[in-house]
Amino acid sequence: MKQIHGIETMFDFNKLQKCSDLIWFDGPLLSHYMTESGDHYLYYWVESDEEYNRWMLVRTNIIAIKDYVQRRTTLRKLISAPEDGIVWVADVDDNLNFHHTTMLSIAALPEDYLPEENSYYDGECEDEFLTADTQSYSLFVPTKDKPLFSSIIERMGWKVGRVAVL
Amino acid sequence: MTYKYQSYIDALLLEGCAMPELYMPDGKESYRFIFLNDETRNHLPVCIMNPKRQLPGSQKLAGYSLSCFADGDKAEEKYRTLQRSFKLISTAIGDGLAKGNLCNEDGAITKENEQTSHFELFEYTTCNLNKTFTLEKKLI
Repeated sequence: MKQIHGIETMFDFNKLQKCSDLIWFDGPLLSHYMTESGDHYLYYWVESDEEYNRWMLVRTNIIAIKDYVQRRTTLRKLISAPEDGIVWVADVDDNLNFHHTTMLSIAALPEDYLPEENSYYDGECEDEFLTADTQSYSLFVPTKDKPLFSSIIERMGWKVGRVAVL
Repeated sequence: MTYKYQSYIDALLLEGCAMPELYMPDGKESYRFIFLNDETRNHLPVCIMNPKRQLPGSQKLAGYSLSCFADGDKAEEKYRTLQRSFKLISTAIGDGLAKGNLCNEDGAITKENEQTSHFELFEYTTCNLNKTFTLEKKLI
């Protein structure tokens, strides 16, 4: 594995719920996850050796993911512009244990861990929401009304999980 | 016939996964990515090889099948596309392209994608592609 220079840290990977695999070839390579509070993350595979697969975790936003899936931007631009300005890198073993979790800036990543400039989407997106022509809205709903709000959204045929309820 | 990874497949079927429609390969010419310097890693599904490339919630039946292409040029095109997004993809899927003919004793295959020529092979227990697939081209 390539050496990376960052801060070894903890990250609660259990808070992430899978939405969809964006690129799958003999296993996941780029996958979309979300937190309960509506934060969007991408797991981006970067390298493997005899023991681990190394993944980069990037917090992003749904508009950026849609722009990528609909080929309006590249994976390089998406990965290079995390919401926090930082990414996490972790080595995942056969039992889905996360090791050597490291927080680092994009600038500190090896060039081989970034996609090429012309890395336009070429996968088969299984998430219709990402490929459909949609408009996103920011709404502020009291936390106590989340179940009611969710039921209304579901009745309309929209996906609740894609809406951040604050 | 029993699939090579039948118990794993059965477990996923119990969880609600459904097998895709499968066909006999009938000697179909096929191409697969291989590792040039490590034959022990070749022709293993992602959920069987070490280390498994998986994430929480990523278990799929396709994790127990093998990716194949009917067209060698399209296989290489896919490799180059993956390389643009994952520069070290060779550490995961290999660095060579092998060619062979799939016979009906090897397993059952999914429908070929018309654009990419990609399809999946669910191997039977006796299948050993190391014996029948040979290097066609180095990709790096």
